Formats: sequence, structure tokens, C-alpha cells
Amino acid sequence: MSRQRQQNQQLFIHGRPFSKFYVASTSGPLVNFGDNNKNPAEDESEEYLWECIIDPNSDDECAYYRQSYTPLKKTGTWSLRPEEVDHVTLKDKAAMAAAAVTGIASFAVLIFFSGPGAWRFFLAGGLCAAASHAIPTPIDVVKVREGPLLSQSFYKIKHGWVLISYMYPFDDHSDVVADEETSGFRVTVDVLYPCNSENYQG
Amino acid sequence: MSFILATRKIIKDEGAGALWAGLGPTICGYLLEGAMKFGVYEVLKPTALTLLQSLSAATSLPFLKNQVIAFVICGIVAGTAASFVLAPMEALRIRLVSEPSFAPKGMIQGARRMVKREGVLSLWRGIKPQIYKQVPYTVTKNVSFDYLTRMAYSVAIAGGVGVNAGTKTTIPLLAAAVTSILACISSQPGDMLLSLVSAHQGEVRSTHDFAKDILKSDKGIRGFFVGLNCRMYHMGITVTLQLVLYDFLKRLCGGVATGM
Repeated sequence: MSRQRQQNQQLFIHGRPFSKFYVASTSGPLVNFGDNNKNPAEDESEEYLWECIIDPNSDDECAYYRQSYTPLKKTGTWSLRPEEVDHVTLKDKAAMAAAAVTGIASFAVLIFFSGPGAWRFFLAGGLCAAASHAIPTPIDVVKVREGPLLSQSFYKIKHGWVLISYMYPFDDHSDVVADEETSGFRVTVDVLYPCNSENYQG
Repeated sequence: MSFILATRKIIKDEGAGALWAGLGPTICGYLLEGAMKFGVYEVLKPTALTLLQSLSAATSLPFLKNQVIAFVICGIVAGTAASFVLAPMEALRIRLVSEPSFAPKGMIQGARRMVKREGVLSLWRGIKPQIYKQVPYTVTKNVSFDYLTRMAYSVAIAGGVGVNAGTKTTIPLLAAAVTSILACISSQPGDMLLSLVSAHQGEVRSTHDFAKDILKSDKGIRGFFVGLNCRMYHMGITVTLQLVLYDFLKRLCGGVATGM
């Protein structure tokens, strides 16, 4: 029964089967997940809204697929069409080189037509902005990571409901929808953060 | 979660290196943005003044012959141009920081993935809030710094202090500190919208929808200024450092000190 269920929960991406994966959402009403430890066999027709699927077993990076607001049945075999192929083609390289050359050329033209000595303003401006923004990068990182709190707090104020947390793939807050160890659904819904704009300190 | 707790959590979970996520796009983005912002502003100043003088003579409106108006126009143009240059790198930086799994190999991989998955235009998705933030920020920052230094040098010369190495250090530093506060306040609503648009995923919502949400919330217009105190520290350091460095580098390259 357990094996059967695991087979039923198999997910195929790029034709490759995944038996262990995570489903996470950054938004949307995932309230259906509120039933902890619910046996999926009890209601196979139930559908979930999902946003991304993360494969923790891939080689060097985590496979990441996004298909917002697509209903996903929690049992059965799910196949996703690959959204893109991640390899650099000659066309990509040409486009990137063209973009770099265009950017440099634009600045060169701008500086040239700005008159003699104008290069000082461009050089000094570029260097000072790069240095001054690079130094407080750690502050920015923490701010961006905590940013969704602010967004959610406004939603709470506006709509009167608390969103599911902003989730990072492998931290404690991820909603593990299915995995091999539990051989079934273990659903954790965390209303993670004190969604209150007053205590936002980002 | 407080800022310090959040920092500790990131270091514990992902290592101290995670705090430097997005450094590549930050340096590249702001190198271009700074060059555009300061370069265009300074280069346009004489042209804008001449144009306004001609306009004033042609229309018999003497108030047009005003340095402040000219500098504000230069700031608007420079801020808009800088927004277009910065937007792609900022979109990439926010994505790298907020979703570390998106591109573990860094900015090249991240840029490629964003373009391939979401299209080239996705890099400029945040352009509208970016302009809302950058234009008031650039205008306030450049014009205030220009005027405050100019005023301070005039006072120093009139007071018999003269212009020496000491005043050339103290005046830009003090002017930059005051400017940073003004720039922070003027760009706060834009920054708030930019944060919300960047953080939001799911249904497509315009910048105006977010602005309406804030205005309709119980905070009203004060909602735009949530987190201002905290941002003030961050921006205070960044802008002060930036303007002092700008003045120093400009002089190092053989230019004249700002306000002289």
C-alpha cells in the first residue's frame, strides 16, 4: 500500500521521475493544506494550488519549476512540461555579448558627446555608487529576505487574512507535501511570521 | 523578527557568505547607475541653464531663469536614465538574494535564467516603482548636495575660514549627512512600492494597486513611511559615503569640488 502510494505520488520533470520533492508557495490561498497528516487516499480528487516544485536531490543545484495557480492533484502521476532548457546556446552568447557591447558603446558615445573632462563625473559617479552600495550589501540581503513580511503585513491589514509564509526551499518553514520517509502526506502549514507592520525592522 | 535575529538566522542556516549574495549585480548595477546619475546630471547643468535662460527671455517669465529649476530638471532626467540602467541589475539582485536556489552559480546564471524563463522585459518589470524611487531620490540628493556645499563654502569664505583641506573634508561630509536624510525621506514612498512589487508574487498587480492598498490601510499615507527610521540608518551611511567619495574621486580626477 505504501509502495503503491509512493508510485502514485511520482512526479516527472523533463521525463525524469522524482519521488521526493517539495512544494512551496509564496502566495495564494494554500488553506487546503491546513489538514495535518491527512491521508491522501481519503480524498484523491482534492486539488491544491502550488507555485513551485523543488527537487532537493539534483546534482549541484536545486531544480526549480514554477507554474503559478495551476491546480495539482495530490495523488496520481504528475507530469510537467519543461518550461525551458537551461543551457547556453550560441544565440544566447551572441545576445549577451551584443548587450555588453551596446552598453559600453552607449556610455562611450554619451561621454564623448558630453565634452572634454566629462568622463570625470561618469567615472567618479560610477565608482562611488558601486562602492557605497557594495559595502552595506549584508544589510540589503537581510532586508530583502525579510521584505515579504512587510508585504504580507499589508495584505493582512487590507484583506484581513494571514498569508502563508514566504518560504525558502530548505529551511524549517518549507511545506513538505510528500516525501519518502513519511510515505504519505505530511502537511505543515505555518503562519510563520508575526505579520505586523509595526514590528518590521528591515 | 528583529534585524539582528534575522541576520543571525541567515548566518546560522547558510553561512556568512550568504550575506554577500547579489554582490555582483550590486557592483555592476550601481557602477552604471552612478555613472549615469552623476554624469548626466553634471553634464546637463550648463545646457539646462542656457535653455531656461532662453525660455525665460522668450516668454518673459523671469522665474524660469532659476538655477534650482535647472538643477531639478537635470536631476529628473538623470534619475530616469539611471532607473533604466539599474532596473535589470536590481531585478537580478533581488531575485538572487530572495531566492538563493534560483541561481546558485551567481549572476550570469541568474541573468540567463531570468531571460530564458521570463523574457528580456522581465528585467525591467520593476521600472515604474524604480522611477518613483529614483527620481525623487536623485533630485533631492544631487540638488541638495550641490546647494548645501555651495552655501557652506560661501559661508566659510565670508567668515574668513577660507577653503583648505579641512573645509574640503568637513563641508562635503556635513552636507552629505544632511542630504542623506532628505534623500531618504523623499524616496521612501517609492522605496516602499519597490519593495512591495519586488516581494510580491502570484497574481499580477500594478504599482498603483499597491499604492491604493497602502492608502486604504488603517495607516493611510503614513503607510508609505513604515520602516523609515531603520532605512534612515542604512541610507544615511550609504548616501553620505557615496557623496563624500564622489567629491573626493572627482577632485582626484582633476575636477573641482562640488559647490565650488
